Amino acid sequence: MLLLASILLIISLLIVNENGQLSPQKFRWAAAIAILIVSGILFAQELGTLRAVFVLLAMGSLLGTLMTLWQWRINLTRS
Amino acid sequence: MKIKTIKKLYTLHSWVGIITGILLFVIAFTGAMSVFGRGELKLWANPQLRALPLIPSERVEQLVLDYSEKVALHYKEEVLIFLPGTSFLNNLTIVFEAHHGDPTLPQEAGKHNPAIGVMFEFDPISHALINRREGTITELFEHRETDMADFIVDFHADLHLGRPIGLLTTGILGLTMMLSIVTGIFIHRKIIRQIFTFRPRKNISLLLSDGHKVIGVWGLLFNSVIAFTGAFLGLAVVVLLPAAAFVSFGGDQEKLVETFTAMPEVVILDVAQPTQISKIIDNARALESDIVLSSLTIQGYGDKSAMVYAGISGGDSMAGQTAVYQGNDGVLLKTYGNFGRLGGFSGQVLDLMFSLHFGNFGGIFVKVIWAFLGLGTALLPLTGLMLWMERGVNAANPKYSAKTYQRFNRLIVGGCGGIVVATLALFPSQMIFKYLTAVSDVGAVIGWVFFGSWLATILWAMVSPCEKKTAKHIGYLTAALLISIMPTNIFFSASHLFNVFSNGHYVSVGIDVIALLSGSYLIVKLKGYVPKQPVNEVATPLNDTTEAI
Repeated sequence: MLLLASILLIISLLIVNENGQLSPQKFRWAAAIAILIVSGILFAQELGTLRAVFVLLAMGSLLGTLMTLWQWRINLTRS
Repeated sequence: MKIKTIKKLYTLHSWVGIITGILLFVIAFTGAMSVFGRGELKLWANPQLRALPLIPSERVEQLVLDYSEKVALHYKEEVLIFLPGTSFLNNLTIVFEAHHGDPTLPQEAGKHNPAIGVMFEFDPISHALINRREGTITELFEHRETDMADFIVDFHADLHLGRPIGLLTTGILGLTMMLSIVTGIFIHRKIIRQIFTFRPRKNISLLLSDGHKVIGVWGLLFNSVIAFTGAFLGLAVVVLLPAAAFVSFGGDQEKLVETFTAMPEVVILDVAQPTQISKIIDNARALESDIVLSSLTIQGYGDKSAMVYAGISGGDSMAGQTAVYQGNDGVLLKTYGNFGRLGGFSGQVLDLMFSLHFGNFGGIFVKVIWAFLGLGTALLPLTGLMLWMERGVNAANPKYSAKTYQRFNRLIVGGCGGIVVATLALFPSQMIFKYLTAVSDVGAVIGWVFFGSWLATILWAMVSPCEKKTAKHIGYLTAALLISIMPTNIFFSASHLFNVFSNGHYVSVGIDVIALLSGSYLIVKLKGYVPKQPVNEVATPLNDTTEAI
């Protein structure tokens, strides 16, 4: 459950990331928020609501940082 | 906001960072380690606590009964039981306490003699008596056996400067961190657009600038929580408590603490009835799944009026809880948090402070997240300091001489690299002191290794001909210490990958493996790193006020 919630969180971050910039597209934002909510629900089921709020925020921070720091490497491989 | 105000905020942000940056790195790095201090590192440091079987509740009850007969009546006012491996004590410990000292001794009018007690320590596996001590309660707990885990947690809390100076220092650092966060938000107010931007290949200045912002913006909420809770935990005892006592209790701090934490004294009925310790332990352990019972406090032991307070953690609650039982029949009366019992929203928030700061509210999963984010918090002042120097050195009219920048750079390399070396040096030192010397309180002597290696690294960085090469050598030393953790553990405790399934030492072997992989990775990375001379090119400007300044 935690793994699935984390994967969904990564997906929502990938959706709003448009070539290293925050996407201005409203559709992308709506999709990302919807997936984020599902991820939050999964975290809440596993950890309880209050814990899930803090874990979701912390996981978002960690995954967002790692994704940004590693993105240049992925871009390098692509190019 | 006006550009002039932004400039002032930038200057404030820079100076706060320059003054507190190294200390902030030290606190944040040891904080990331402290996340594992009260569980995982404790197990690594004390092989006898690994895979410890649960002590049968009947055995605890029998021990309390047997040893209560060996102490004078006045010691039975309160009985404290600490279960091994779950609290700060390594052994099963039973303390019989007399709140007001020895009643046969004269007392000053209007004053009580200090609380005294008899402490019995039992082996956590055989339950045989290994130690008996008598004295004031403060003395009994002061002379407990400590280890590297206690040392690093205490260092994070007060830098081993003692109280109140140490706590005041860390509390103020929490406040300066909050100031840096607030000024950072105003300086980089457009950064949210470039939240995914990281350009490490263009030049060193841009690498540091983007890295500082990425870690800062993504970790904004976490860092704010850590800074606020850290400031609270640091200043609560030395500033907030006296202030609250002054306002509400006429300056009587003891009365205030009693109001918030003390368990109400029971009225002894002098009707003998056995206290149901075994039943209460079994009930507390089964209250919820994942509950850890760490201690029991019994008031009025052996009397009909006895009350039992069980210290529990885990389960649905994020913070530690106290479960209150009627002693004579073992019925659960209520559970509450330390402050939550006072009611209201603020009480619940206060209860969360400790858990949120140390990330000990969701098992190893949350601890790992907290540790990684804590390392990010440590990198934040480091990248900021490096960026300030990079810009200073490469400026058209540098504010300070090249020599000044070099000295500061050396201090950063020695101070920050040194704390990493000193922390990792605790691992082999712990085992050497524990098994090869007659020292029983390892935590009391391990400070010599810690502060000695830290100071030696600072001196090394200050006198070496090239600080960049020194940084690389410190990196190699860090990698060597990381790699040495596994053989140290194998040599002293015989726990390794090939017997982990039979002995159940998953935590300690897990630490070994993670350290080995981290050390090997660091070596690979360092081999590819060639120390360069300072870059003379200026960073490509971003659409950000900082770069414009």
